[in-house]
Amino acid sequence: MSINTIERILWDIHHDPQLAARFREAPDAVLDSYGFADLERKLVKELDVRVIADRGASEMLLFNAWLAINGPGSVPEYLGKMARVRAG
Amino acid sequence: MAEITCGFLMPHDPLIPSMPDAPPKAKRDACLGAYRTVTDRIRAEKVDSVVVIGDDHYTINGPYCIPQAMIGIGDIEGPCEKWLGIQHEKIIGNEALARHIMDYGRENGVDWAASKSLKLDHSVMVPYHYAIRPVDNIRTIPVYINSGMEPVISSRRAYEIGQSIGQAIAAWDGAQRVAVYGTGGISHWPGMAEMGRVNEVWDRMIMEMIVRGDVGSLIALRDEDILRDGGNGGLEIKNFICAMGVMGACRGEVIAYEAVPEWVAGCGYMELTAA
Repeated sequence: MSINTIERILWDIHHDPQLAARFREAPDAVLDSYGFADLERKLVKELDVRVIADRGASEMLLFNAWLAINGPGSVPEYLGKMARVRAG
Repeated sequence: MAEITCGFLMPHDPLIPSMPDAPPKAKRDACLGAYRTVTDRIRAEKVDSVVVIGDDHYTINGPYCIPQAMIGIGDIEGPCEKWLGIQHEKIIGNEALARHIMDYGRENGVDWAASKSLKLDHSVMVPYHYAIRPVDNIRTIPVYINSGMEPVISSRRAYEIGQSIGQAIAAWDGAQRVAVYGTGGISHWPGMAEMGRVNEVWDRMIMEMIVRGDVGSLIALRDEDILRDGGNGGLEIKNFICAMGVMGACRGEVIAYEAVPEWVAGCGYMELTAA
């Protein structure tokens, strides 16, 4: 698991509103350019923020990227996903 | 000779300007009133420039490059965040003094990263908005230390960098009355499952250490303990520690404290005075 690559795509999405929009509409096309392994790809595509955080990604970066994709109204959903029992 | 005339600690919570009506009116008024107290003080002290110590939140810099200490020595504008509720503007810096702080540091063991074109995030922009812009003709020197993104700066190093800033200011030939703002905190958990939690007991413990001027105890707090008790946002006490380094031996006085879960932070305001 390359947490660095995951953090890279989270930053890119947070920093580039057009990339965030492309990810929303067609995530596979965006993911193709990052060279993820299957599990990493699945976690990012599904925005499984709890598991991504448990594996060491910055929660601030995760939150920023989540908001870039889903908008400020999605904060309760983000917190709901983060509140699941931490893995391992 | 430049002189550090006063120092202040204050929150840089982005929800203060972006969600002003979220908390009860009394808490909001207390917090905004505390910022006004700071502006009254710097106006009374005839401050020329303010060194604002903030930290990035993966807004200015990404995982591609994470500087431990960065100073704005050129153009300054802000904010980065379009949702902050603060209008974008160019900010008057003090290029000469900022460059002097950088040069002094580099000659004395601080490898500053320099930004010649800096777009501020909320950590400097919020204190600027509430506690600098209302006062005429104040120049801003933005300093970012890495309190927010792994690998975070050590508290000891944050203090040493603050000392370097203070020594540089004292060595400046020009006549400047300088204030320092340490910004952030206190307890908050941005992006974490606990976001919205405020640990008032811990916040008041931190403020009490500052009141006593006990920077040694602040530096001795382990990052894992800060994370547990104050959240990832609690690591921003390193910005406070840096400001205390700028001041030299100092004590603190509480201006205001409000636990504001609606703004997802414990909001503490303090004045630092030379001991």
